Amino acid sequence: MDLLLQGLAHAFALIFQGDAQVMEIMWLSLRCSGLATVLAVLVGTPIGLSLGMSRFVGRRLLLGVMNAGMGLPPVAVGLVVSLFLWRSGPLGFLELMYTPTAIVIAQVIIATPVVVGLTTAAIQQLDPRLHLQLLGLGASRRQAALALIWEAKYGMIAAVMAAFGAVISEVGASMMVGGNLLHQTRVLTTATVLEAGKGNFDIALALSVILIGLTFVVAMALTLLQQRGQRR
Amino acid sequence: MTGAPVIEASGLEMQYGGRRVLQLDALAVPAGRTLAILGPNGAGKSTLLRLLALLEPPRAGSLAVLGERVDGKERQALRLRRRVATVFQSPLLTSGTVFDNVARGLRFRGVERAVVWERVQLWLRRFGIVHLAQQGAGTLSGGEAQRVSLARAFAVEPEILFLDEPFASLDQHGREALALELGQVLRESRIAAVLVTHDRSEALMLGDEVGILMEGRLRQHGPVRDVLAHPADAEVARFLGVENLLPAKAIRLNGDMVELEVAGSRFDVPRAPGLDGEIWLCVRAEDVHLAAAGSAGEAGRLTFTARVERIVPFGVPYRVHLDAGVPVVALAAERTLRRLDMREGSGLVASFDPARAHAVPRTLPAGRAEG
Repeated sequence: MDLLLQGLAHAFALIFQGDAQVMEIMWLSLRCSGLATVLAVLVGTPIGLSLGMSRFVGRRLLLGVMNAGMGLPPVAVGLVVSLFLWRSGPLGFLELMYTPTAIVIAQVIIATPVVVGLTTAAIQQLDPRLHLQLLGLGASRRQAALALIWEAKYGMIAAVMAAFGAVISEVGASMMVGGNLLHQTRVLTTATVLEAGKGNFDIALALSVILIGLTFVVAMALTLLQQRGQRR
Repeated sequence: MTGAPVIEASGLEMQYGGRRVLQLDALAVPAGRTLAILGPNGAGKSTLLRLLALLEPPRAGSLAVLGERVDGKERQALRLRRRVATVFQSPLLTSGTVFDNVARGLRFRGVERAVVWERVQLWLRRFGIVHLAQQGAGTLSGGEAQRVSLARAFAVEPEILFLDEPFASLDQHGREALALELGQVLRESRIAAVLVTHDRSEALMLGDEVGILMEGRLRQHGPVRDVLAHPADAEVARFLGVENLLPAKAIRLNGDMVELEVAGSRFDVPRAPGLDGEIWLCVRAEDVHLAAAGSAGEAGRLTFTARVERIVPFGVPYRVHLDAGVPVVALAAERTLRRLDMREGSGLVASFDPARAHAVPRTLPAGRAEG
């Protein structure tokens, strides 16, 4: 118990003193997971939109794959991405292994199915005739798609929250493809594992508190946005 | 005066899951007039509307909209869709205010802000909802929402307006009020409109012409009153609310008269179109006159002795089901029921004026089974 309290005290000290190393790790985590979420939204939203709106051969199979993908084990994703990026792998010439870019790639793969699955569900909540109505009012296909996304925005916010939550909290993939290199690829989760392993529970706790705090702040901001809109 | 048709379709076909839901030989929508497509549920009305409004490409056939032959390419479809507007059964409003909704189509077209404001105000006023402009679309009643939907369609000043059962989500009172208002706007704006509905009174109120669509085929097309008075065949007649289809046979011509056998009795009636061979005599229930048993038939009327089978208090007046050798339905006010002491099993005399009857051939159109 003492250890926990001491750890918490140290954690807040590190946070409020703005410890340079902790801040660096935090910013890298935010940058990687933020970028991965943005990319996953850009890739996943059109896929989710067409899965939610259109009927085509193989749609159910693709939806099933995406839904299964929502539970992809990050460590398995990390392993597959490593095999591709490894020096001798098919993408080894890009020399991305153990870089933040590798972390982003792995996290995009983790987050995209989450965005696709939740976007599909959000679009399917809309009246299926709304798409025809928008076209009937003179919308181009693109305008209609954007309008539908706007109509499904609260579901989309949930998709963003879930995607960000999935990638900011994963450790397996970041460890595999990032390697937890100090000043290069050390993110909050991998640093926590490392510090706990070294017995530095106070630092590990501090990092965890920051991680939980970040997740909470982002989720809270998105929730407020979502709820404010729905009350209107 | 009407100009060239705004829509010309021929050989239009649509299938869903291998089932043909629409097969239309030819259809033209005249400029400046309202064509009501009337048909029972599942007749293919909404499918037809989606094809004509370029919301879905047909499987086969040719279609010309506003003088352009439709080539199936999205570029042309979008250009033509921006010259028309569609209103659906439910209002299908988007989030935002009433103003945003009415402005929607104009914004899709990239219309200037000042023009948008002006146009939206005009149509909000026209449909009596200007006071709702800043209200959230989600807070409206069904009637208000459908007014917004109509204002939204008119705001883009379409050259053709497509209406898919636009009053179906409203109660009887709201439906009548809005249909009257829409009729007035349509007459004033003189834009062409295609209305699909299963409701005869809506077709009568709004349509200049009516097309009867049954099982994906256009069975009859013409001015509304003509079609309602002279249905082309027995099925159309039944759908248009003709309750009595009496089997009849023209026996022989006798100068200006035709000897007609109806339900086992023979009558001489004036010659009229369609009184030839084996026919159905279509008689509306309101044209059947009831009199006390034993009373003499009026000259010139087709008169039958009948027995009351059932009296159904279906609104006012009552609906009286008779056995006159063939089943006959008549309408009777409560005082007629009392005057004739009518009850189930009692006898009376039923008659109708042959001039009020309409003859259709007993054989159904090719490909249709007798039923």
